[in-house]
Amino acid sequence: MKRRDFLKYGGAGIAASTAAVAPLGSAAEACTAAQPCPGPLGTIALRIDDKRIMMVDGKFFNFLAFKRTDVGSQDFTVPGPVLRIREGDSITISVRNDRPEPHGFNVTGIPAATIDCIPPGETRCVTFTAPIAGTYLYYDGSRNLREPVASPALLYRVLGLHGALIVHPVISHTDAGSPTPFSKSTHSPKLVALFDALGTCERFQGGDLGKWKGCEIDQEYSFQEKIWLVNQVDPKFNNLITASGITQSSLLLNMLGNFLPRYFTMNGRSGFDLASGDDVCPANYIGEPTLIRCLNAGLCYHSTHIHGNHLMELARADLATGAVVVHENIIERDVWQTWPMQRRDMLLPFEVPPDIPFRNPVTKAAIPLSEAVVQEQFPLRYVMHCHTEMSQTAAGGNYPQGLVTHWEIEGPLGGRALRTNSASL
Amino acid sequence: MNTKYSDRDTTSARRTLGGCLAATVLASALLAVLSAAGVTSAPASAHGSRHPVIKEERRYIRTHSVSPDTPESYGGPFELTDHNGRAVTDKTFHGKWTLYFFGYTGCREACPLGLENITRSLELIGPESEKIQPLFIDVGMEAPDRKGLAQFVSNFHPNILGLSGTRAQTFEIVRLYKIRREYMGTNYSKKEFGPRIDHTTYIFLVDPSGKTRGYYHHALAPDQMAAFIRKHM
Repeated sequence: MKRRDFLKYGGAGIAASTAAVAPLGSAAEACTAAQPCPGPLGTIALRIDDKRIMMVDGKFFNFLAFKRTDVGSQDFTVPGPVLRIREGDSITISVRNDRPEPHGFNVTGIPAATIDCIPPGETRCVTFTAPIAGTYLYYDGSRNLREPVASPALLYRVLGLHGALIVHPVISHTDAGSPTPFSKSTHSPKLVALFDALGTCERFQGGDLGKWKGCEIDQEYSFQEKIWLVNQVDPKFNNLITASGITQSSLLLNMLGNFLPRYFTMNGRSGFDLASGDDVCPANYIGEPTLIRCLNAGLCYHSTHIHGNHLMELARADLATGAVVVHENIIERDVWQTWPMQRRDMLLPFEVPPDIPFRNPVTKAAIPLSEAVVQEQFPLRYVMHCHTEMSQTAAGGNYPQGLVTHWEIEGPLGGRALRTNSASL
Repeated sequence: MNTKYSDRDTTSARRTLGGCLAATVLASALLAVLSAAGVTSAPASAHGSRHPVIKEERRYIRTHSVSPDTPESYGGPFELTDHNGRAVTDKTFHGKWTLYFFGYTGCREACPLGLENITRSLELIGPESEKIQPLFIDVGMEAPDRKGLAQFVSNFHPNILGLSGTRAQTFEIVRLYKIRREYMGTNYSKKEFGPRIDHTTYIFLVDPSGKTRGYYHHALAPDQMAAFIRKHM
């Protein structure tokens, strides 16, 4: 498939998804009518500005970026900071726009969390009730003046104004006491069966440590919860960002048709820069599962794939409404599709990989580790890459400096409980 | 093979002789297997097999059996910094014969061997070697370590100059000389420290006008290296 063709397929996904969830344009008059924040800056305070960021090949480009100002001292980042809230809470988000052009704020699947327009130099707020637990994407869905009204507003989201919004459940445990990432009201029998089985059987080892534990609400990620947010970069659009505003180029008349990515990023990085980092690389013992929240803020279709384990697909986004759909059935995935604006929650179970000979295939008797043919030292590293193959490159062919990273199994194969007794499994 | 963290300009039609031979041998082996499996039972015409699999394999062989790139297709303008902190470009070395060798300072295998062979070949060439400028270009993705580079090259011929650059500068010269770099996930070497980079180890001979005249393997015997260089000088 040619690069431009796969973009078009991705574009079909966008057309289906964004038409329903993105607001129509934010013309200058709507901006004038928008009301300033009535009171305090709210639960979460964000700012929008431009930032110059280095790509994997050392070239620098302009991006639009969010920065959180209500906690700590954060910098402008692409993607924006991970926002975590709890379902049912009343949340107020304020966004200050330090750029010369108007911007907006949207969240997929939460229409009430929309700010149509934030005038240059001003702050706007939105208050909404946090919906059911799951993975959401916040972004700027406002329209540049040059983007046709008949097509989805794409520019600002792709140029960097996007991030993950995670809604934590109030009651997440199963009746048997197993924690899950979802509200109890959305649990299906098979989801319950999976999370209850974790840490209790030969397939899902780990004992008490085998239960999934979610990230704290004030953290961005944890040992057992990662966020993989992908995006793509076409420098000719980034070059439209100037200190005085967005250059009104004819490229914007058909952004989807003119977009030809040179860089494919996850959490803003690719290739060598994506090869390490606790935010991206799951690293755990056998039997200690990790939840990977996958989101696609870009314009291209991705087919994420890892080696070593299959993942359980727990939830996805309904592309028509943006709502979180927790699956009735739990399907094991070797490759999972991530359309533009799609989100999928995938559980990496940390099973013993099938390429490690730890059990006699006929008698099923355990093979002592000392006799097993162990090809590598611990940690065992397994690659993650995208099966939309061109996205493994950067800057027109540097392979594999694109959407490539890995996950690690800490030794020994028996899990954390056996780490002091590596003579047997 | 672990190909996780390397870069290669796949837009260029780079082919190596080894790759061509490997493709041919692989295709031949596949043909043999297909024959043994009875796949070739379809009648072959005087113009070759009509079997689509066989035709496809022959098309593959035709497509991939091409000559290696000419020496002149390697190289071009670049900007780097030498191990003394002096900014250099390709033009800095015009007027001298130049040897370009790419590697990293943590290497304890191909890079020291290549540099040692360069050293001995220059000694064999004798006084005329003063017309030759040997260069060792650091291909690491990390921030350049000029002090470490100076220390590394000081183990070899005194004329060897270590070059390094920003990531963008390194990407550029690696692209110009079609150097493949692969960051390996794990380094089992007892001799090396830091990350391991599997990389192209050709040594490029560039004439005083800046044109690449030839390239040879880093493990070529020093007398053969000397002969190769003398032949072009």
